[in-house]
Amino acid sequence: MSVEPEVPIVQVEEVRENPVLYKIISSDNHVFTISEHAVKLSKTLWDLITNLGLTAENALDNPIPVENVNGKNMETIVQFCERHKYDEEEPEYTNYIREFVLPEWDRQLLSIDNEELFQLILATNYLDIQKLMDYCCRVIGDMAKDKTPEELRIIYGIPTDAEDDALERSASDSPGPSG
Amino acid sequence: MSQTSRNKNLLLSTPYLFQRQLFDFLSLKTRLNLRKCSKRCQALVDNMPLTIDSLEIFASRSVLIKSKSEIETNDKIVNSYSDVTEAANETRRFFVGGDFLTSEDYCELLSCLKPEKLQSINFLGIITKDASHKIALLEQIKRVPTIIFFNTLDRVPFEILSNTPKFYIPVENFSKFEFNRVVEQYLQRDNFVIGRIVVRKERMEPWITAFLMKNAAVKTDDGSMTVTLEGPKFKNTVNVGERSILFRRTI
Repeated sequence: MSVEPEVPIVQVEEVRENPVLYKIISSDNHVFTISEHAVKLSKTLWDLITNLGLTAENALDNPIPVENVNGKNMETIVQFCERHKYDEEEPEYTNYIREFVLPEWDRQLLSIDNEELFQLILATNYLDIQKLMDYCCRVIGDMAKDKTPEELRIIYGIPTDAEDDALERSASDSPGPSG
Repeated sequence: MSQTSRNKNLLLSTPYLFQRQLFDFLSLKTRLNLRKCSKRCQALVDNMPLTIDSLEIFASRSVLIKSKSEIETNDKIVNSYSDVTEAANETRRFFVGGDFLTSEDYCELLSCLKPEKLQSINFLGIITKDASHKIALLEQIKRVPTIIFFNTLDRVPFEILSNTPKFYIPVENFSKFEFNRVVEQYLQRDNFVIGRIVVRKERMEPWITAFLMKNAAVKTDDGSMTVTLEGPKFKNTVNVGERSILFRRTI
């Protein structure tokens, strides 16, 4: 990777016991450093690192471009992964409803508006970070607790059937790619 | 929390894997409420599996819907009873009954449940002959391993038990003809395991005593009598007590 973007590097806490760091470049050219333990929480990134053959020696010289995730989301993701990198694996679950209390630190981190949360979910899904996915689910699931259908429609921005029909009609009326 | 646009909807536009996971965090009540938001929401909810250990729908003067972690005492959250089984499609033990349920209701409710997930169907009220005939045709009834009746019926509903390995039925009357039907047909069926007919012994006299004597019944510790029957395919025992008959496969 020869081009170094001219943007500030977002530093994360240095890990004394594990000095291996990787560089990630977001879609808007922000550069992040992330420790090996933290990056392992993302299956996509870790697979990429493994396939590229990055090692402790060459990792920082070869930033990994992630074109589907912008800097804002990447910052949240890096913070999350660094925070949870030494967590024990959660047991498999089989029954609904999944019960766990979202730690306060994470609740704060995920206290963002629906639009941002939506983008974060897409990024989390792309990077395949199971724990963050769980936490996003908990946040969105909690929004629905004890709410009426009308309240749910507002919270989640669910269109009514009439709105859905109108949008579908206007989509089919609009010219296609060739028109 | 601001609203999202149609294309960036937290519920409807997120990746399937996320939606699938999200639904693990939504209770039955929330799912039922979501179903009422729009047709798209309804389709989404119905396509998401919901495994519930035990679900009860009792529709009488008031409607009771109970699942493991929730209790609802009114029907305001559903448009029809089958909304519940549509949403809780992977229920394991299903309890159903109540005067308000028609034979169509029973069929609708049961047919929404995945037969391969059902472990038992428990009838809480009296079932009419008409309902019994219709229910008997359902895949769910033919495949469920256990059927239990909680109320005393006039007669054994044979059509409902046509393929049930385990059953429990309280009845007012149990004739010699019905008894023979169980012995000759049910006890020789491949999948039969155990069945209890709850009926007072005095209602079966004198033919039940004649049966016990003819087959060299053995008295057990609790005072009941047990007969071992060797059939063409399987060996079973018939235990006759004062209040019930227990049929059990031995080999």
